[in-house]
Amino acid sequence: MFANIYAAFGMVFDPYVLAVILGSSIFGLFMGAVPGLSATMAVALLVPVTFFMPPVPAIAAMVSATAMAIFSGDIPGCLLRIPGTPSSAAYTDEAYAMTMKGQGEIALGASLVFSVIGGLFGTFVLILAAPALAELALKFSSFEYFWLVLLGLTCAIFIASDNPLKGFVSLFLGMFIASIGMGNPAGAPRFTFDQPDLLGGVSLVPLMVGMFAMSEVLRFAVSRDFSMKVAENRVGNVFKGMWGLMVRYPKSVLRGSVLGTLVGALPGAGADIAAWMSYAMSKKMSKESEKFGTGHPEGIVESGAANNSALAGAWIPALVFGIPGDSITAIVIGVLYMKNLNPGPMIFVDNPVSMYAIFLVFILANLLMLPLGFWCIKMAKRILSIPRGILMPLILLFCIVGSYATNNSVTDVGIMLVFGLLAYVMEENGFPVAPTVLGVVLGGMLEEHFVTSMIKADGQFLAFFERPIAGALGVLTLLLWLLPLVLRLIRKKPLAVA
Amino acid sequence: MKINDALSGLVVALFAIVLWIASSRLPTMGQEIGPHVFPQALAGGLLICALLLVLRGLRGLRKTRSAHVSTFSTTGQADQDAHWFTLPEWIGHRHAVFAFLLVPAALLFYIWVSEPLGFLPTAFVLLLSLFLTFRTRLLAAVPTALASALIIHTIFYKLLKVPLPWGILTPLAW
Repeated sequence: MFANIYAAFGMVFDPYVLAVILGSSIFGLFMGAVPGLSATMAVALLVPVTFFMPPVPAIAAMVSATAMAIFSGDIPGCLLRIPGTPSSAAYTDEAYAMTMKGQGEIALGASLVFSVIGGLFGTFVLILAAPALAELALKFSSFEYFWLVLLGLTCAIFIASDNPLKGFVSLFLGMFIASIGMGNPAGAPRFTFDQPDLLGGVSLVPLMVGMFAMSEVLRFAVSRDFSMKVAENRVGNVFKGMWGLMVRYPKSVLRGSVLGTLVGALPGAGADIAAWMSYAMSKKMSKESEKFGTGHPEGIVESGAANNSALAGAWIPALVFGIPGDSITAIVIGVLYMKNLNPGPMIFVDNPVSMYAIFLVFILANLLMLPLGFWCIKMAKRILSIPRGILMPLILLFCIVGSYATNNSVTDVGIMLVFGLLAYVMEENGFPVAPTVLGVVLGGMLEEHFVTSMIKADGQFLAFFERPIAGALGVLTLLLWLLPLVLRLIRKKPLAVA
Repeated sequence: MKINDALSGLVVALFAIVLWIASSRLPTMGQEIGPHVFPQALAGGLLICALLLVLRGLRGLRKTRSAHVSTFSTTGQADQDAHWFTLPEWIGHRHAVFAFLLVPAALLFYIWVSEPLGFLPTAFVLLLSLFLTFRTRLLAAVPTALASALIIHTIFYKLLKVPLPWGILTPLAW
C-alpha cells in the first residue's frame, strides 16, 4: 500500500500534472465566476482537451476545475446577486444581503474557507468509503448491478427533478441514444439508418458539449442581456474573522459537510441540491433562524461547505459502481471509460496507484483553492466586466473545435448541433437534461447487466430477486417507483373532504 | 417555444410507437433476449409516460379554461397550461430571433465551409458575425476575433495535434 501511495505521489507531483492542475483551476475559477457558465459546462468543455492527456492529469483537470467552479460561483452571487453556478443559488440572496450591509468580505471569506473545509471533508469520506464499498461490491453479480443502476437512475429522477414524469421521458430518451450503434450484447447494428458514422454509437463528447454548453449559448442569444453592472465594492482581507465563524458555528460546518457528502453520494443529486437542502436544514436548526435572509453568515457557512463536499461525495458511487452521483461525474465516467480506467470495484485492485493519485489531486485542489480563490476574489471585478457578448461566441467556437477533435470529423459538429437544439427545446418545456446524459452513460451498462442476468436466469424474471442483496435493491427500487402513487392517494383523501 | 404537455406527450407517444416497430424489425440472431428487447422496454416506458403526460396536459387545459382557477398554481404555470402552445416572448424582437438563428447557422457554416476555406478564416468570420450580433463594437470585435481564432488554432493544432484544415491558407501553413 505504501509503495502505491509513494508511486501516486510521484504521479501527481510531476511538473506536467501540476501545471494541468493549476491551469484547470484557473479555468474553473473563471467558469464558475461568470454567470451562465457552470461547473458542469467547465467539465464538458474540458473533455475534448483531456482527450489528449494520460488518465491521471485528465482526471486531475476535471477535479480541480469543478472544485474551483463550485466555490467561485459564490462570487457573483455575493457581488451581483446572480449565482455564478446553480450550486450557489441557495444562498445568493443571503450573501448579497451581507454585501449590502457592508459585510461582503465576510460573505466571500466564509464561502472560500468553508468551501475548502467542506471539500476536504468530502474527500476524506471518499478516501475511506470508496475502497470499503468496493470490497463489498466485488461480491456483486449482474443482478445486483442491474438493480443498482436502476436504483441510481430512479434516485436521479425523483430527487433531481421537480417533475418526475418528464424526468423519466428524458431518461428513456438518453437510454435510447445509448442503444444506437453496435455496442450492445448482441453486437447488432441498431437505429443507425445505414450511416457508418453511427455504427460506433453517438459520440459522447459532442453530445455532452452540445447539451451542456451550446444550449447555454442559445439561451444567452435570446436573453438580450449582453452586459452586466458590477456593484461598487471594495474587498479587503477576506480571511479576517473566519476563525470566529468556525468557533461559533462548528455544528453547522459539520452538518453541512456530512449532509453534502451524503446528498452528493446519492446518485443523481449534486452540489446544487446539497446546497438547497443544507441551507434549509441550517435555517431549521439555527437558534437565530429569524436572521436568515437578512445577511446572516450561518447559512452560508453550512451550505457553502455542503456544495463542495457534495462534489467529492458524488465520486464515491462513480468510482465504486460506475454510477454517477451528478451530471459532472456522469461526464467523468465517460472520460474514465475513454481512458480504459473502467470504473467499478475492480478499479481499486487494477489501478490502485491511479486511485491514490485521484485522492491526492482532490486534497491538493482543495488546498490550492485558498490562495487561488483569494486571488480570484481580488480579480472578481475584472472577470465580471468581461462582456458576455464576447465570451459566448468564444465558447461556441471552443465547442465546435472540441467536438471536431474527438474524431477529426465535422459529423461530430453536426451531432453537437442536434443535441444542443434538443437540449434547448427540452429545457424550455421543463424536461430536465441531466437524466438524458445519465441515460446515455448508463444505458449500455443497464442493458448489458439485464441481458446477462436474463440469460443466466433462463428468462425467469423472478431470479432478479433471489439473491439477498439483489432482492433488497430490487424491492427498494420498486418501492421508490410506487411511492409517488401512494403519496398521491394519501394526499387526495383529505383534499376531497375539504 | 413552450408546448402543452398534451402535445409533447403525443410527440413522445409517436416516437415510442416508431421505436417499438423499428426494434421489432431488428435481427434476433437466434437469441431469445435479442437486441430488440431493451429498446422495446424503453418504448413501453416512454408510452406510459406519454399517456400520463397527455392526461396531465388535458387536465391542465380543462382546469384553466373553466374560469375560477389558478388558486394554487403560479401564474406562469397556469398561463402555460391554458394554451396548446406558447411562442417564446423573444419572438417579437427581431434582433433576438436573428441572434438565436445565427447560432445553428454558424455551426452549419462551419460544417460546410471549414474544409475548403480552412479553420482560420472560418473561425474569424464565425466569431466576427457573432460578436457583432451580440453588440460588440466593430473596432473591438475585429482584433478579438482574429486573436481568438489564432489562439484556439494554436491550442488545438499545435498543442493537441488536432488536424484542423488549412483550406485556402495551405500555402502559408505553419
